[in-house]
Amino acid sequence: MTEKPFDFMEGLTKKELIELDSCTRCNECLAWCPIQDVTDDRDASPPARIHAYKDFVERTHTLKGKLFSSGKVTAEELKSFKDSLWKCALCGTCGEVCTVGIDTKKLWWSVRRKLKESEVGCPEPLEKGPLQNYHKFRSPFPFPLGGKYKIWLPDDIELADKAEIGYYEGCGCTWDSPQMAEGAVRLLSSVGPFTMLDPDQSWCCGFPQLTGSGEWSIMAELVNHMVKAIADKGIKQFVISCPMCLDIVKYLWPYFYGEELPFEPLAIVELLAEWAEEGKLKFTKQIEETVTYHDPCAMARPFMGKPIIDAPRELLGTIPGIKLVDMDRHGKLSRCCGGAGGMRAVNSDVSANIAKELFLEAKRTGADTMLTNCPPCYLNLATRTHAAPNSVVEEWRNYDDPLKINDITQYLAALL
Amino acid sequence: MVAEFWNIPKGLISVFYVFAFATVIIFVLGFWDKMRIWSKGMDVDHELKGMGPAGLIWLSIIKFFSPDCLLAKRLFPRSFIRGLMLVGIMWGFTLLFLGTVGRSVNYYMFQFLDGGVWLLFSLLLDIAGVVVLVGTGFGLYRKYIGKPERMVKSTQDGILLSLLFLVIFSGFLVEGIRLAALNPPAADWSPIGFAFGGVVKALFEAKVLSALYIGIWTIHFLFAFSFIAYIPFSKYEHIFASQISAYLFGNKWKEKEIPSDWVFTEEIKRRRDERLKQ
Repeated sequence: MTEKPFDFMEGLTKKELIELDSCTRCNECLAWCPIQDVTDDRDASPPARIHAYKDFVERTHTLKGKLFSSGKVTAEELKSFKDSLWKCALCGTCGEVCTVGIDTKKLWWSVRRKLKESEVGCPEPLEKGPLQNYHKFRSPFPFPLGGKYKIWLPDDIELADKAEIGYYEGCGCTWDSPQMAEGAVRLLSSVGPFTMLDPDQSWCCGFPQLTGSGEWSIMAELVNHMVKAIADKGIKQFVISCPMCLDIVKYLWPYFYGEELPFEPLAIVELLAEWAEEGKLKFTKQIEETVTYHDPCAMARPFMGKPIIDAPRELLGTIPGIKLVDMDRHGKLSRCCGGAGGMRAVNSDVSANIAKELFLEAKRTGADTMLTNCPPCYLNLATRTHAAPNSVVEEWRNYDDPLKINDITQYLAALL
Repeated sequence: MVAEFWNIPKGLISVFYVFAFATVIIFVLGFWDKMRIWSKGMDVDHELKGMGPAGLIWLSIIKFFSPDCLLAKRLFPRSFIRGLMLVGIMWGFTLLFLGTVGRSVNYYMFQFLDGGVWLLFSLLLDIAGVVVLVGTGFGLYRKYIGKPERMVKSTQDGILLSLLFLVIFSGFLVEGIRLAALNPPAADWSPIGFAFGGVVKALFEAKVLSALYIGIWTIHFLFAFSFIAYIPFSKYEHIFASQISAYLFGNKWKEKEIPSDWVFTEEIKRRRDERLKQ
């Protein structure tokens, strides 16, 4: 233990402290938890985590703890709790189905931040990966930003120097799922001029540091830089492909910026649905296909923002020939893809197994194509690449499956 | 007519008061300690802004009596039968609590439980008791026999459910023995106690009922006081917490201009303040 005992309460909100006492262990969340779908690890379930952390708080702060326990939490206990806490993709389904309304997605986030401050820190792959990369490259990926658009920005797409519509693909799109960004800019350019930040100015939104490693101290610098860069481009509508970036930009940046943002952040599917409705977005090619749409957790159950569930369906509904069938679990109760929350890096096999479950559910709809709109979802499902060598993925790669997986913007760009 | 302390020796009544006093002290200490912890959280949620322990207790009471809580609105869509179980235990327990308060007022302050009022009161509390008994019985069944496929195991959960079940069961037994021994008029206005009395009569001779009553009454109050004292130290503290969580989750999408429960580290706050000064 450190000289000064670690304070498990400091920095938690009243709401979060009340939530620790709210869990009834009804076990409803276990029936929905993607980790529980593919493992028998009950310690990595929401009630077990809540009661473990509550026990830490009680032991170190309450009368009960002082009377009936050592009043301390050992390093081993903390290490075990850390393993359980990062065995989670932060999909938030547990909070959505929680019978007493515990906002688990945010609670895990706060507790991860607390553990980052403690002696056990965050898992090594996240500490050594995204966090160190951020300090060097201003992105969670180990590559300089300068050349990032060369990866995916087509030569025939022209960027305006300044424009009211600005596009932000997010690091995940650039380095993991560039097809998403290419699709988005093709659709945007089909309607009118738009701009993007200069690549070396287009930093990370902050999401991977906050949710993955729990490192929050970088946010003020990051937000101030980005808001200035966006304002300098004359951007009024800041259109974002990655739903996690959107949640952070729309709802957290104002806090660090200290006032309302001088532009409107919105999801690419929201703008495209609006344009399609107004007749601005026109498709020249025909298609006859049955598709199913996977609601990414960051859109269906965002950390802070309002769920975006109708917009992609409205967008698809404007295209004749496309028949949309929903999976049993869709909208606010959509399945997790296993790709977020640091899972791919820390628990690669579990992440791949979760993606496989979603894939199988999509197959049961009989759809020709599963569409989604999120870099980790796309990466985990379509490319099936994981940070660590992975037996599940190897097995899955050899599936003889007719179900295609695509990003919604890439899919629609092919119909222009 | 209310029969408080019927057949109970004076010495045992004194023991009862000592236990009652100790229970109240333990409960209040545990409960206040918990409220103190809650109120020490960062004051960033606008719904809880500035609330100390007293404010949080008041919010908990208000939200307990909200339709969302009393009708278990988040549980019914997930499971109708478990929704019924929760509503049964919650309503039944609340009625039994209010009934106990009523009986105490009647005994120590002014009498109002007489005639028809007493009969209705008896009937209502009997129904409340049986609802809690069935609810906790179902809870125990679900936990130990019809086990959900995925469950976090906890000894405390079993102890709590069993304790609540035993409090109610022993309460009916106490009532049944008294009705069997006294044969009061209109005893069937306490139908469950009356039924228990029938079983008691069939099993025991009349001469042992008096001693049996004292024994079961003692066990009943020990169970009841243990349960009450345990509440703020156990999972049952959700009785005070979960209605607040449900209320805040319901508000989650309503006030989204700026997130209400964001947390600043001191450094971030300092940097933000500096930027605003520029």
